[in-house]
Amino acid sequence: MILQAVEVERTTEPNVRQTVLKLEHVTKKFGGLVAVSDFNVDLKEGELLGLIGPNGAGKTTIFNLITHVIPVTEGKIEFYGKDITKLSTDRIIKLGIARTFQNIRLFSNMSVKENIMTAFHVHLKSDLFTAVAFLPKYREEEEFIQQKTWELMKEVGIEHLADHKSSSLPYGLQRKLEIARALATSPKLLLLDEPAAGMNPDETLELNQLILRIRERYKLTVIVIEHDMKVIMNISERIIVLDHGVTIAEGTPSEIQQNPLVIKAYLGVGDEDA
Amino acid sequence: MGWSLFMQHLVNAISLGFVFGLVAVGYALVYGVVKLVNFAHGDVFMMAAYFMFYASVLFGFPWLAAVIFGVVMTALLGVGIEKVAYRPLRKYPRINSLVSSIGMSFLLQNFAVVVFGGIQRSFPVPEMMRKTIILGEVRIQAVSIYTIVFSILMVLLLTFILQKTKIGLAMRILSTDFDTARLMGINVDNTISFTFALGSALAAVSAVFYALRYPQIFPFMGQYPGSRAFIAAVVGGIGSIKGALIGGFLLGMLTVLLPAAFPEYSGYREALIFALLVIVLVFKPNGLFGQEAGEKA
Amino acid sequence: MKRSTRVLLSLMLIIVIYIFVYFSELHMDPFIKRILNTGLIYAILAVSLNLINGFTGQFSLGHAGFMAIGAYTSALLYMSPETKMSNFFMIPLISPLDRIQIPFFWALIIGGLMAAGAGFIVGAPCLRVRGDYLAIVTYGFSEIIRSLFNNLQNITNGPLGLKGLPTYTNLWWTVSWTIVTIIVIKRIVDSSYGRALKAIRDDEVAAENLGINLFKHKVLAFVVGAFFAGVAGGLLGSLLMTIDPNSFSILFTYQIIMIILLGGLGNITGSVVVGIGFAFLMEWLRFVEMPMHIFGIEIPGILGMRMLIFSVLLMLTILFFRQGIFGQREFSWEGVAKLFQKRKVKE
Ligand SMILES: Nc1ncnc2c1ncn2[C@@H]1O[C@H](COP(=O)(O)OP(=O)(O)O)[C@@H](O)[C@H]1O
Ligand SMILES: [Mg+2]
Repeated sequence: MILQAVEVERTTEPNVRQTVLKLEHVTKKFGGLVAVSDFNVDLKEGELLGLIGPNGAGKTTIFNLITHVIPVTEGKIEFYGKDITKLSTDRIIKLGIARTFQNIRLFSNMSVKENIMTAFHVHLKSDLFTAVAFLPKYREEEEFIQQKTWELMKEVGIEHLADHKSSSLPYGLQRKLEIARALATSPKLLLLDEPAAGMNPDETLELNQLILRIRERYKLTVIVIEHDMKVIMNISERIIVLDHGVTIAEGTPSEIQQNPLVIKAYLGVGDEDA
Repeated sequence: MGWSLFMQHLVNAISLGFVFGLVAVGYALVYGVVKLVNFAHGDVFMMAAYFMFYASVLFGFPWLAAVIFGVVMTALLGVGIEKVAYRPLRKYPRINSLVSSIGMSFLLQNFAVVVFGGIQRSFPVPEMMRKTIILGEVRIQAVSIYTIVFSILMVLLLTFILQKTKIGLAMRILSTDFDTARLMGINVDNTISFTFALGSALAAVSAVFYALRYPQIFPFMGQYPGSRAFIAAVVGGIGSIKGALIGGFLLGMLTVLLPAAFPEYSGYREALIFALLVIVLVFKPNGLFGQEAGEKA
Repeated sequence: MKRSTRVLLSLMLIIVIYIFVYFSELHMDPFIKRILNTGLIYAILAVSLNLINGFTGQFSLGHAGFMAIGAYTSALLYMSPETKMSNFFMIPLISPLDRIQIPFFWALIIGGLMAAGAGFIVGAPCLRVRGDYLAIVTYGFSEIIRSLFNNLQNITNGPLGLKGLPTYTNLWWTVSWTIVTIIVIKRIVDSSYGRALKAIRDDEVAAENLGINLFKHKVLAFVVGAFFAGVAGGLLGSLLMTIDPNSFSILFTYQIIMIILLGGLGNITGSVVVGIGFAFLMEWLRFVEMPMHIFGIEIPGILGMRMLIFSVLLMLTILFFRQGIFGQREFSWEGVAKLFQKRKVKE
């Protein structure tokens, strides 16, 4: 079933929860540049992790490594205990990881609806012949996709724009469409890369509520990247701070706010990021 | 194959390699700066031969003057083609310019058929180029020696332009980063025009030597050396001048030595050379001598 | 509009087309019929190349190569052993091809399958090679095919080509194959698979990050596209009655590319209309190469003028009609219905 949520025994005790994602000593070098250096994380089911740090800290690179858009230089990545370090991107997505992009990557020649429908392809069961012959099995699947697409559009509030070209949407709605599209692959882990970038405070607030809502509804584990830390202070349980590829702090939002290293890293970048 | 025969073939191969190499440099220069595979380059080469032919035979220019006239006209043609066919497409996906260059190649060929006629014409060959030099058992055509000497001069001149002149510096910066170049106040349009002029002029020079070697000129004469040079440029690492020259050599060797060594398989030469192109692109897309590019995404 | 209504309307249209074919085969001028056949073959080629170039965004220059494979394979299968014998007088055709003769339909299918196999081989590098590099690889492939066909004399008869192919191709065949091609490819692009292909065209990284297997889908486009190109090659061979390796040069691919550009990348209606129109245009343009009489003065025909005009048109398309004549507008029954409704309102 598409969009089937993982049934999880949620207990209040975090360390009893299952590990969803585990990165061990992950390092990425681009030539001489060490973009990510010895990064470690152990993410529990249902957790919402904030990944923050100034521009160029290596946050997006970590997402690219998790979904194997680029290979790791060193280290190991596990998803529900399975080593996915060397799996191809599409296989990783099939296992249940979905992501959005910092610089929105929608299919610009397609409508809003089609963008989401495309994402259901990963779990399509009909083979090409069944689809081309439009046999009952495919017809059922297509109907199911239509209906779920509609639900997802409603979820993020863009159902009135279903037939509009995705590139014609305002920025904030494009980001929401990208989230809906990611959800369509029925992920267990959702990676959001600066979802609030370019949004005003009101929109950001609304987005945060959306993130919390979908986490509940679809039983998601979430990592949110932000370079403005104020944005996710309210929603994340745990925050990791990166600077120049190095993990400089990890803890609860209030711990992070008082950490002198973090303050220094942010001050070093200048005011425009604050 | 005897030693003397081998030497003859070798000299032949080297001079042909230079011809291919110089045309290949034209592909490389353009690719380096605007990232366009200029499919029309071989036909610019053909046009050069006709410019010289008409200057000499129709207007009675002295040979050398005809050649210089041809080089200048070809450079202008190259600039014109860029202005008309590539510049308006610069802001669109690269594939648009690629198709445009295919169309331009088509257009030049058909233009030549209509205006110059479909029949073959004899390129004027000066007396001193017709000689055959005999060194013991080895017989070498004078034109091969001229080709090699002048090609080396052209390569030196090109290196000088790229390394020591302002416009050369601009070209090099443009080839690494368009935006930086603009920020640095480089006139992008002029630099690109110059690149096309330079590449076309080199094609014109190699057209002279090619036409001296095979003095029949016709509207489709650019296709064969054009595709050879193009393969040379790709195999050498498209965008790299050094790679283009080395690739040209390699292709010259393959073209001349392969059928000489295995005459019974000479028919498969084309298939083999194109297979080389495909294999290099698939397994070493930056060419045998090109540098590694960044990773995807 | 309900799906069943659309299907019904389409069926009716197909019946009307076949009635037209029936009468055309009986009464149409053979010259016009021949052009129409050629046009329909162009349409098959254009629609199939559009699947690769237009919908999947994989710029292929290999279509002439796929055609050549289909044309040769089918010709060697449907020609009679006697005709083969008279063709291969220099070097005999290898056994058992020299004895085999099978019906035209199956010859076309096998020709298409061979081309599809080649499509798989050509599509495979897609994993490593993109954009203009892929264009070059496919161009190289088509040149390799041409060169091999020029040399494998005991299979292809080399540069002499094959002559005296029986003329099976008629409007029944070309129309039917055009319909099959359109339906299959339209169904693919409208299905979930088609959405995946379009996603790859729009943004490979995003597509991959939605779990779409790039390799599988790109190869799929190549295999299906090549199959229909192979069939079209088979039809063309039997229409022209003679084939040789050099008639399947890159020039042929350029013509098909021009058709899909003019018709609009990713527009099936455009490919079909322009494909058929192109055949008529090229025929009509022959007049420019004939001597003309204007006010009693005879102007001699200029050889090559036709191709020059063609290339000027090509350049104009590339520079000024980047969206093609039809843009994104596809034929649809809803569109037709709207047209009628508008008329009624005006009345
Ligand atoms: N594909 C790549 N090739 C080379 N360098 C890269 C690549 N991707 C990112 N980098 C470099 O790695 C560093 C980290 O980048 P990134 O992860 O995008 O930072 P951010 O934390 O802002 O998301 C930057 O210096 C960036 O230039
Ligand atoms: Mg980033």
